[in-house]
Amino acid sequence: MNEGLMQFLSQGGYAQFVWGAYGMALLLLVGEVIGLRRRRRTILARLRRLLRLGTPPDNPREHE
Amino acid sequence: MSSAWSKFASPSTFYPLAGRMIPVFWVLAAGSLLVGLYWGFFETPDQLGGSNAQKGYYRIIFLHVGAAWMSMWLYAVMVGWAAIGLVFNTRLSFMMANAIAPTGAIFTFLALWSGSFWGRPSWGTYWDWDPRLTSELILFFLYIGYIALHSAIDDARRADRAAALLAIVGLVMVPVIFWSINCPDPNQCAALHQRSGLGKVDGNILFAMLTTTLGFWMYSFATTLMRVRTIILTREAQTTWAAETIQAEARA
Repeated sequence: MNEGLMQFLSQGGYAQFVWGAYGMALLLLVGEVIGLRRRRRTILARLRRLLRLGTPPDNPREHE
Repeated sequence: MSSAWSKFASPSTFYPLAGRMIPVFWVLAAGSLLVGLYWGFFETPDQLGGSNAQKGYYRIIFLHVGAAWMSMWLYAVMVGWAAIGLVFNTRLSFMMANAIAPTGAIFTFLALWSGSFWGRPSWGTYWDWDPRLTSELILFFLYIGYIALHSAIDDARRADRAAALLAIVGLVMVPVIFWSINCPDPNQCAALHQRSGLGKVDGNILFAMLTTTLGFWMYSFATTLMRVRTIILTREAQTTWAAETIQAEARA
């Protein structure tokens, strides 16, 4: 079981290439989702605050 | 345009619909990726022989091909939405195009990155200016350009139109990437992408490749819909339905 795991991790000696590629994918794809969630929370909080203050948000900018 | 389409062109109708679809796409994405990657790592030979012999590093293919296909497909879809927006003047179409761009950029980057990491052990180089690599790099710059151009213009509607035009002009790159698979002279550039048909690929490898690609496609649906919902709330914040939704989300 342990040998199988070591074999899997080493990827025939090419671990740095295989995991370097898949690792970046994991990083970016998970990062994207986390970023989307955070962005949504931030924007909701901002819009809620603006609505509470009674000032309707105008000329909304998507990129702040 | 029938009234059914007009209804779906309305952000207020699309917002909750997208919300319901997102979890479905996450489940499909997770399922496909798990199956595809499991298959790719455990049901395929450890190395390949033949005219283009490959060692263990070839397993990058499942990530590389999927990401590359998505980079092209997402660009085409983005242009589709941009064109619809320009022709029918529908806000939501432009919002969809904007929502796709970052995900498309990420997959393009991953195609380039994974390709690099595959190229080094197998053909001896992280990079080469062969037609396909170069055109994929240009595609990456087009995505970044789309996002940057849109950011740079204050008026949302003008930004939408300008970016849409850029995207449409750049569409020529996709067929260039797709068809530039042969380096004309192997002495001039590394023979990284030789002509090979899908029919010649081992069945297990092909299955893993297609399943992983499906997984990326479902993932892209999920992230694009998540992004467009936030875009919709930002742009439509002055409307009653949006105000009510925003308040309701606070309690959820």
